[in-house]
Amino acid sequence: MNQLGWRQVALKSIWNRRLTSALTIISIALSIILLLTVNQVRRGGEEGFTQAISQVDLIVGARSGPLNLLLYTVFNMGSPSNNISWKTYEHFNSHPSVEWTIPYSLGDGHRGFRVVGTDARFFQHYRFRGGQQLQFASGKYKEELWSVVLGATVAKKLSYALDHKVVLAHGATTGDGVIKHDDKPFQVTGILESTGTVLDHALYISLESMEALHLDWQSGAVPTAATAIPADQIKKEDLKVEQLTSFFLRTKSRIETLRLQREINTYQEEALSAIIPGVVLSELWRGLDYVDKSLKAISWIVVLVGFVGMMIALLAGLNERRREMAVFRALGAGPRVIFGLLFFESTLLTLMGVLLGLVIQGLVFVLVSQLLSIHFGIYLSAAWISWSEMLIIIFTSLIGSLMGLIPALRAYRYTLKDGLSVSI
Amino acid sequence: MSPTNSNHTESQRSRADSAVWIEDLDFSYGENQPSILKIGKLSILQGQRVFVFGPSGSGKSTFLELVAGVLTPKKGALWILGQDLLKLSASERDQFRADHLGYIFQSFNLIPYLTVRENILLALNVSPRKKKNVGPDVGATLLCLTQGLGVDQLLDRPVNQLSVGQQQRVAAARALIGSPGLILADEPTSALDFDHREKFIQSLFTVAEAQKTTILFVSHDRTLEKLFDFSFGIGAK
Repeated sequence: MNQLGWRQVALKSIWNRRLTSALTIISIALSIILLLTVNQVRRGGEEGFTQAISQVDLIVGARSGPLNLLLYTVFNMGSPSNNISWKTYEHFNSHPSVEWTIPYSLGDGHRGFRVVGTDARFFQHYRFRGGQQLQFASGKYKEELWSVVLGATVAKKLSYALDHKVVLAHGATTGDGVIKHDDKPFQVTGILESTGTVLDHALYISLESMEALHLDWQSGAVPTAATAIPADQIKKEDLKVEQLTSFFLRTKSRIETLRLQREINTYQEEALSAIIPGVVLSELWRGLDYVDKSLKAISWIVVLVGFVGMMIALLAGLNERRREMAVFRALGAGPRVIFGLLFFESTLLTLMGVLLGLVIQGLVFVLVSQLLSIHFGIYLSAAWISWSEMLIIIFTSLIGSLMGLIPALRAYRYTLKDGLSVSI
Repeated sequence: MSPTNSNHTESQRSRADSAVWIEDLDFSYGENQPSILKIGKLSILQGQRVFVFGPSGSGKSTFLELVAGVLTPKKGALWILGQDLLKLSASERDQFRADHLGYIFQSFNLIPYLTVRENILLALNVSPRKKKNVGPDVGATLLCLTQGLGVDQLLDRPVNQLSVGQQQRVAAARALIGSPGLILADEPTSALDFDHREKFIQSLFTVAEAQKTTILFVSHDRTLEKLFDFSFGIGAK
């Protein structure tokens, strides 16, 4: 027979107010989505950030602040203060404590992306995210003039394929370059697999190519028709790399790192700076802590607003339901049943909101993680839900239930006060 | 028993047999508050149909809430269907109400989001005793009961499609289901027009009589008084 338990009565009551209930659930879901997304982006951001470079013990450049050196080398942000001479580089490259080095020159750009001058050692030794090596999606790096390797984002955004002709611009510029090396176009010989780091946002050419680009710029002025040297007259063998921006360095033994760092920093021939990337990276990340903290605070406030919304909806509905409660009371339901009805309702709305938020967030996660990785180089770690998200889910459900206590207690009090005679 | 106690035992028997038995009852909201309701002695026999009248604000509703066990008097004796109500805890009184009483409000008796059937069966939700009285064939009992009240055609209707008169009849069905010992009706006919009042009361009586249910009917409308076995006034100063 059609006899209802209290749970079904509560469900029918919620259904009866389905618009308000749905809105409540949606607002809770939205706040959960925001909170989870912020948490994931933060987690991914931290990982992508601190894992952009690994297995490099020292980054060496001309004397400057450690942050500046880190930013312009690893993150393609800002510009180097000065170059270092090839002689100095050679000195440390053949230093007995050094296992390998990667030369890393900057200076040109292509439609807002950095151009990095390096050599085969970059593709061989560079590691990111714990030790992943750079992989080629297609083609390979060629140690020859006028050949360029593209980062994944560069290839994707500019839709360049292999053999595409690329004109580099002088100076790292955003948008189209003002001064272009259009007499010396490059050919795409390789495209890198996406790494989810800033590595995707650069073009890679050989040190010699970089030198060749600027061969006719020796005076420092834009070459005129008379001084310009045509590309086909430049031979790789004739080129001599005189200087570079910076280099990465791996010691034979980690114990050597600090001693070598001191040695570089006090090098007499040239003013140098050597930094330990991990140390500066975590310093930098700690410097960005307030961004992280305020994001977190904002999303928790949004969650709170979501639940306050639920509380308001329940409280506002309570007055018109006093009659209903008097009927339940007359039928013999104790105040505890009334309390239970309200509490059940708020808990159910909370759980449904959290669940809906989780489902939507899960669906969006895949999409967003790809977009973030492609467009911003923010890498969302593979796990959709980590411990911190689990805690968030448990904690928000708890908050929701606690907030539900307020209307439930109020209903309890109404019930005792009203008895069977409601006068509203 | 000694003879001196004969009066006492008689009183005991009377309490046990009465539907409502009240002595020296005094009710006020809280300590040091003015007395709202005072009843010296009242005994209503089981199966009686009693009319309670009094002007509005005279404490009729308070009287019903006391009998229903929602309120408790600060002093006096209050026995309902042989049970000393003052000996019960609040939740025991709630359960007693669920098991032995039926209540009809002046209006808005029904839960708007439940069907007529669901509304009536809600009474069984809280009372194992009423459920047991109804027996295994709930449908047949429900049909019989609603036929008696003329609302058997409405069982699967949503409540908001019902007229006020129909709603009150459904409320009566809910109060009567599971054969409670006592029905408390708080001006159930005041929202009805004159023709429907007597009809409503007649059909309520018919079903109640079959179940030997006592009816305590509160109203300010003394034209209805003649239909009842017994009547008394409250708060008439």
